[in-house]
Amino acid sequence: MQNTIRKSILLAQLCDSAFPIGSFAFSNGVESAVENNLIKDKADLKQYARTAVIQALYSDYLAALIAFRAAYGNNYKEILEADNISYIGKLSNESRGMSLKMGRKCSEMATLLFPQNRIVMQWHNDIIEGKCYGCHNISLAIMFRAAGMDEASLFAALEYGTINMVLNAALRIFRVSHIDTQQILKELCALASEDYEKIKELDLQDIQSFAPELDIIASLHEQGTKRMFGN
Amino acid sequence: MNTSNFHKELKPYMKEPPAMESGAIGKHGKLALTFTLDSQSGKSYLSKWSRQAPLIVQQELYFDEKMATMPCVYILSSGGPNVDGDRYEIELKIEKDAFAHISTGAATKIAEMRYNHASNHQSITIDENGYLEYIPLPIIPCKNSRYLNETTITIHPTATLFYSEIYCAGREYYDGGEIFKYDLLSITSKLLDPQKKMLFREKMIIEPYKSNPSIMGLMGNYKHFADIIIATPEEHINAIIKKHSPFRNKEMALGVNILPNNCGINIKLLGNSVEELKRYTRSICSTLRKEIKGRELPEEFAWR
Repeated sequence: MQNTIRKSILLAQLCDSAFPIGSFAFSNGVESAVENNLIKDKADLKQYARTAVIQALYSDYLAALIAFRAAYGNNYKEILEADNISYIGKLSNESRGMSLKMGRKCSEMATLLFPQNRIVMQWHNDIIEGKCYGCHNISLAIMFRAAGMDEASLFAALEYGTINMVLNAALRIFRVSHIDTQQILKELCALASEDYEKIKELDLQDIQSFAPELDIIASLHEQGTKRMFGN
Repeated sequence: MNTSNFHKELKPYMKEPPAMESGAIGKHGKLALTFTLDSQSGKSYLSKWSRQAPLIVQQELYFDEKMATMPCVYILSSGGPNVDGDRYEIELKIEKDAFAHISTGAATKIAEMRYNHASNHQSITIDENGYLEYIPLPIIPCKNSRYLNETTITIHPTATLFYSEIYCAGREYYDGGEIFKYDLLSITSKLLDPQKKMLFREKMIIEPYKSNPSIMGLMGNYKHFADIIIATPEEHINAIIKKHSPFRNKEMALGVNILPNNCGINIKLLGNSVEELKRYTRSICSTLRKEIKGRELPEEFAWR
């Protein structure tokens, strides 16, 4: 019981938007989606957040699960492969930048919270020395492994993180209430177990993503002038 | 060739057709084309050429009015549409300083399938200062078709490639309309440097019966999409982006993204008119050609 309580608190800490890796400062292109009339109401917002999950499910989440298992098996080479394929598969410059900034911060935090973990220290060192890209999903996987969390918790954190990022950004730009976003969060998170089942047996060569309209929104966002954050 | 080990999405579609088996003679098209520069005339020409039916090409032609030294080749398939169990392999090589324009003679129709799948594996190699425009006509997947298109590009940092594919939602006006009635489209593109370091990889899997593509963020309200890869030295990237900024309206949407490692650009075009997608794709290629070769693309032939 004590262990369960400890892990539950740790999970809440690592998933908190106040966890200082900068996730509160990214929007996943919500401004451009609102500006282009893609998001007009609560239902649209829910669909947008869901599509963001679909886009990440077979790419970032899958690579993170593989990196987590590789960390468990001390297979550092596979962690690097998962990082490489995560980075070279991201179309948008901004999403690559976001992933690298958060990945670096996440690895820094991991060295402070889990300094005894050899992979955590090597990973952070390799990011600093430019020996790997240091994507956020991989840093998070390594930190979860170091924290003694299980794979399901990592997956939950990833899916929750994507949805929450979209919803938090929407709150600041779009006429939607905190109650609405909490309802959306609950409804979308109810699909997470089913999503996990879809990817749990896949490997690195199965990484894929098909969301061309989101890619276009990302491009509009990157080259547009309306943005909430200065990144 | 068993590609299902690398592409799990093909596993449900490995049953042998009761007619001709997959990859049998007549269903295993192979094509290898090499282009070389004749430095005396300044012409680029098809120097090596091997083919195996149903893939065929005729000799290169010089019909490009804006660039008379440009060899133009249309890839044809004598078998008509791609059928259950067809396996195509295409190798294109552009040697140092050479250039070429390659397209297909007609749209690639992927016929209705019951047992297996059709695949097209392409390898494109472009040496130092080489230049290739590869603009096949659209791919039209019919009801219940399964198609894998895998392209591996190895390109020198000084070379330039324009590669586009247009994927239709299906036969729009057949049998009341076949929009997203196909079983599987699996598209993989990989871009490597000459040392074989992978700079960019994109894999897209579309299975309309499993997950509706017509939702916000995927295809939205659009039916067809074009996927364009421009690999070119970094200094040319801005000229393309400046001319083709992202936009989104009811008929069409365009997104431009700089690829990882600054190895080029990916352009996604969504639209409801295949003709418009073709026209816009050529206009982007024309911008690129102007930037690299100082010449524009000529008007497309009226019959294409």
